[in-house]
Amino acid sequence: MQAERWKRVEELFEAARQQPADQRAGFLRQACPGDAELRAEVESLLMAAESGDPPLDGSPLSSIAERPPALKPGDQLGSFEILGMIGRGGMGEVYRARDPRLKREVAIKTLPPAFAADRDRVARFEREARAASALNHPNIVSVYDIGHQGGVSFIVSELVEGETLARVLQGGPLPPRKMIEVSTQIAEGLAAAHAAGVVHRDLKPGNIMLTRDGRVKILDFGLARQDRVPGADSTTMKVSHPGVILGTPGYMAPEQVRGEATDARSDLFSLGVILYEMASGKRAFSGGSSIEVMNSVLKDEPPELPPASPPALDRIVRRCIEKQPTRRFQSAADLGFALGSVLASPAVVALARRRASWRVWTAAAASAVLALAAALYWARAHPAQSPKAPASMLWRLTNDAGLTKDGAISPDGKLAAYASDRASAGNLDIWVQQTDGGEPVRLTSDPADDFDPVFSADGSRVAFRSEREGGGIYEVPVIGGEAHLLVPRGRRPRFSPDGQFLMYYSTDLTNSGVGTKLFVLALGGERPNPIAPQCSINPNTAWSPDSRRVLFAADCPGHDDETVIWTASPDGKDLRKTSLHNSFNRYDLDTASLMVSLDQWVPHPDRLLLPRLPATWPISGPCRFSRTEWPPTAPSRESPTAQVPRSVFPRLKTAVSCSPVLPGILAYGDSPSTATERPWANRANSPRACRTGCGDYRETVAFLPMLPGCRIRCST
Amino acid sequence: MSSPAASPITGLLLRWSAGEQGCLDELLPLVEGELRRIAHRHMRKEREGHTLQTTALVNEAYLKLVDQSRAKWENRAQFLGVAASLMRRILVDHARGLCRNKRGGAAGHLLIDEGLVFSPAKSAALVALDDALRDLARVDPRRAQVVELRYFGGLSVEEAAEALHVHPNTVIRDWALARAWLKRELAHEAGDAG
Repeated sequence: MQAERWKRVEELFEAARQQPADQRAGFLRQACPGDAELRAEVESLLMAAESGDPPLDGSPLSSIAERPPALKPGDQLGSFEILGMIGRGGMGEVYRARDPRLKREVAIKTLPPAFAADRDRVARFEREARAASALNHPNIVSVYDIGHQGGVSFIVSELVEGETLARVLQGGPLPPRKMIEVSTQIAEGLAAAHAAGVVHRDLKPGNIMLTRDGRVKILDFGLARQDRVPGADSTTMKVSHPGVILGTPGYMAPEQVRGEATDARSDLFSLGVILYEMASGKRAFSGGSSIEVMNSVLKDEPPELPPASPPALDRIVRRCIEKQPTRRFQSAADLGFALGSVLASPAVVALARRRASWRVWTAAAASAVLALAAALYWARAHPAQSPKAPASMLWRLTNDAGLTKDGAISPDGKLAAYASDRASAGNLDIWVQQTDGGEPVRLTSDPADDFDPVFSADGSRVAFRSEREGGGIYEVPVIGGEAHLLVPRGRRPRFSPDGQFLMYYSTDLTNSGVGTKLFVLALGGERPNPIAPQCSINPNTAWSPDSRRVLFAADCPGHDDETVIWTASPDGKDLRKTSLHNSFNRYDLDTASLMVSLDQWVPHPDRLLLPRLPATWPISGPCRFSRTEWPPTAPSRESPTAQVPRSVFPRLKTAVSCSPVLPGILAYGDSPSTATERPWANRANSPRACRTGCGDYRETVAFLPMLPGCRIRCST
Repeated sequence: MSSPAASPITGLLLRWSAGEQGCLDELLPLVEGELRRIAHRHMRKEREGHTLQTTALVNEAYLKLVDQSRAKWENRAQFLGVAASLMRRILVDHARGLCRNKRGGAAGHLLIDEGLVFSPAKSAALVALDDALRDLARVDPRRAQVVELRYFGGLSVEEAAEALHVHPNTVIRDWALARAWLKRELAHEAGDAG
């Protein structure tokens, strides 16, 4: 009988728990009419289930074991008055205390007596505490003071009110945006600490506080235990110091588990593990025992992140948790940069898009330049554009020190090609990289400079200018292979969209010796067609989308020394002067802007590589390559001025600050922390054009005005 | 302890798993001895602030006692089930001893370092829980076992399901009801005492 009744209790308990809380009483009244006792039994269980009493939470061992706090409220420690214990950590006890001098509350961490008796350890502790106290960063808990009293060493630090990340993660994985914000702040804190020579060594969710206002604070900087016996191998460590493994071994880098030397990259491993946990809600490395966990750290690759998380994030995590430090990100700054890219990647944007408001384009945006650009779209069929088109986004592709220049995007939008000297400083080679991120792949390795890459129409090859063997345009398969000469002495290759022609310029094919000359070579043909041979051509050229016209700026005899925009048929026979002209040679801003628009004229329908943004930089920061995406819709023919801007000049979300890197060359780097949402560079705010001494960098100067929030200082 | 391969425990575990109930009687004292040693050592380490987790203890016991090359996954679950039961006995024994001898420390089977105090009040709570769990076992043995595995043994839902040969969802449901039941009983008792 009793068993039957219990079975009924079980069923009702289960069923009632499926009901919303406010409907349970009604549900039970209906379910057990006339049996008030049964109903009361189930109700009491439901109430107990909801109650906050935790008799079965935590571990039974810690439920019966406790140490009395060494200090009670009202005790004095140094000049501080203890208010109460906050908790216990691996290093000792943490108290809330009051600083009577500054009338503020602080956190005080005491060292356990076992530590205090060890002189070396105390000395090391103090040294590290001093290093930590020198760190002044919003994402690092500030250390105010160190002291001793009655054999107790203690550290006084900023009191942070909030929750630990460990606690937050008990609620499951974080949403992508939150996760990136948290990890970016951690990376920023780490970058500052590493720059000061301080390595955390015990980064884990329990050491990361999230304050109520969304700030991340890293705790215990530089205070991590260093209780590894020098020279102890992993076997002796396990056998002779088994207690060590009861910490949080799942966050330690493999070199830490082995007791080897640690450095900043060990912290990046830990951050990778934390990232994994934030994204998946699961530990990257787990096991039934600490030994198994450490074994997992040494040997295992955690499963892929859930499909909902951005693919770029999985790559970042994998790179953080490489077993070999040399294969990880080499700095927290690099990692922070990569994380910033995730935030801007389509997967995350899609999540945020619903909330994003669509900015009104200012009248200034629809400037004369844009109208010109619109007019140049003459040959394209234009579907109507949805006004709901998503905002464009800008994110970085590269973050190398050194020079990165001449970006190009493959026809399918999946690959970017560019010139970089990352492999050997001072020597440019061609690299390709997935536009979603990923590792760069080196395509050329000639000791002469290779640069100005461009994809063939089918995306299978990359043509580029190389200075090798007298110089010329070379071509190499995207998948890698031998480069072969395409056009001797040619520069700046531009394939026609239909893949039939290659446009380029050259400075020495004619005997005139004046300026540069433009050519179109029918691929597979023998002789290139000279285009406007009497003119001096500006290197910025473009194909019309239907491959029937080439567009270029040129100074031609009899045209008053003005740079005029011309179009021509690929065979060069039909040459037409457009009504667009300006004094490009005087670096007039409008024309310069126009030239930039020409350069971007034939991009992939929904992707635009800011062609000079990747080029030339950095002064304080590393070189960066940027990709941007804008609505995959073509401008409408009917109302060009209103709609072209979105396509040709994407709205940039990232403010750009600029500074000179070399006399005459402008450089700029992102400063995401000052990001503004200004939709467009107002004409009135546009920086003045700069005269540079280096023709190759004209475009760079020209392009800058397109970047909202850009500050330019000119150097002469 | 010598190596797992040389220990009779693996053989006993396999035979017990295969249905030889008598082997359990031989198995228990061997496992209990090791568990006590491990627990003792970890208690000493508690001074340094580590959070004690029984799951670490029973898993360590398994790694030390059982020859992994011969045992299968289900053997591990069964071992952990046994260890959980023993863990409960060890802890409750200790807590009862502590309640009898309020000075703490030397009472019970565990020798506790002076740096670590076993709170008599909390020990009393553990004893009360043990009593309530016995009551639950009379009403619903399986749910009581779930509590033993999950709470005292620190087994995961999956491990507990494996040890009990039930679906993990059953363990989750059992745990919810058992927990509510125990909470209610303990609250009653606390109310009576107060």
